[in-house]
Amino acid sequence: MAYPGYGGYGAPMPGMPHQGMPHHQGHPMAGHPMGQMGGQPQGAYAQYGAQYQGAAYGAPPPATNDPMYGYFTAIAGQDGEIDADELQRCLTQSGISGTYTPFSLETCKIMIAMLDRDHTGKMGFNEFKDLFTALNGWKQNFMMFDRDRSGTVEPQEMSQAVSAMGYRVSPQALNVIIRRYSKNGRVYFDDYVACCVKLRTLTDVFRRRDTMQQGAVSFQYDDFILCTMSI
Amino acid sequence: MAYPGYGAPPQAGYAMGQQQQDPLYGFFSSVAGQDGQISAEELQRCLTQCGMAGSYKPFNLETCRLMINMLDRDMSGSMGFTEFKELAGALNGWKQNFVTMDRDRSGTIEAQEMQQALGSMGYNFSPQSLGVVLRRHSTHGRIAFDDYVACCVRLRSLTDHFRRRDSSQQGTAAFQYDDFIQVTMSS
Repeated sequence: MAYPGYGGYGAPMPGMPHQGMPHHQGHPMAGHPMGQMGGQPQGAYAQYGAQYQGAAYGAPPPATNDPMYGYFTAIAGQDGEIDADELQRCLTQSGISGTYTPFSLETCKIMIAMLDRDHTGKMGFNEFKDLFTALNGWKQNFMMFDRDRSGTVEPQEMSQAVSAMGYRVSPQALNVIIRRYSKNGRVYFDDYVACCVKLRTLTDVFRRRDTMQQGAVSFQYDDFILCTMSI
Repeated sequence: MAYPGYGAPPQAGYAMGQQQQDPLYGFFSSVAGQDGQISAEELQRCLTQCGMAGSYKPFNLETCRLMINMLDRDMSGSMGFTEFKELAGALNGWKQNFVTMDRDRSGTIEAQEMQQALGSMGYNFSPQSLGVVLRRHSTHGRIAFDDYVACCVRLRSLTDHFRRRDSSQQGTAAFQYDDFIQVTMSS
């Protein structure tokens, strides 16, 4: 069967061959800066591969002249890790939301869950850096559709934004997503980011179990709960 | 394999006359308006007004959205009175459970108590899965009433979806990617 679009959190670099994934048409890509995680993308899977390389454990200590380190340590305290409340403060201080409203606590909670590989419920500096990169990519994508800078996009634009990230899902699935993340008929930046976090995490989880690359996974109940309740 | 934790069985449909005599109907219709359906925001108001959370903090909007999704069989994004009654039944059951454990009336319970609560609802997860569930639904290491309800709602919803796809009832279900996304993004 045709391999579904597993997407990512950033569009492929222009000109790079995209293996097994139809390129989204009718959408300006040239000169569109997208946050990438480490390495060069070589198709959908490479994005995910790059994501896990050199991250967190055993990585060298962060450079203390890294500007992001400043925000992070100011808040992290002794254990060098931040929880959801602290992440919310950290992100607000860093100004990454720009003119958009700051992230809700719930969104910060799932951001931590997305990157919480050691299951501590908290985020270390390297995970924080990975998050920042992803957030920049998602924000660029959102801004492409929020032309009037209202901080919101219309449902149709949300569908386009999801497709622009490389996800190939049915119109029905898009409707589910839009309904879930709309408020008063529009999608706000914070909810859009929450959506990106969930899509990425769930897609990643699914993909790692799709050993035959058929776009289908047979789950045991316990594992299903582990996957779906983690985010 | 037995599928646990369904809580209250679905309520039988109400005849119109019966509905109006139902004390909950008053709260519901005052919020629902003409179309007899309530959105997540309206559900939040409704549950607050009828004191469902008791002396606990009112439900987050996010939790209300999850509740709507749990029972939204017609995929309308809103809830009618029959569904609301079913929800109220489940909520009462869950609340009784929580109140029993929250002996110091702090509005929160410990991870261990949450584990017991899940066990008593019939869930039997591996330590790893349990850990994941607890971590995701706690705030500063404790589980507030809202966290607990959100957890119960999600577990019930996801288990329901899983069970419907487990044709041989062996505890295994196959998902296509698109279906998986639909199920998980709404739960």
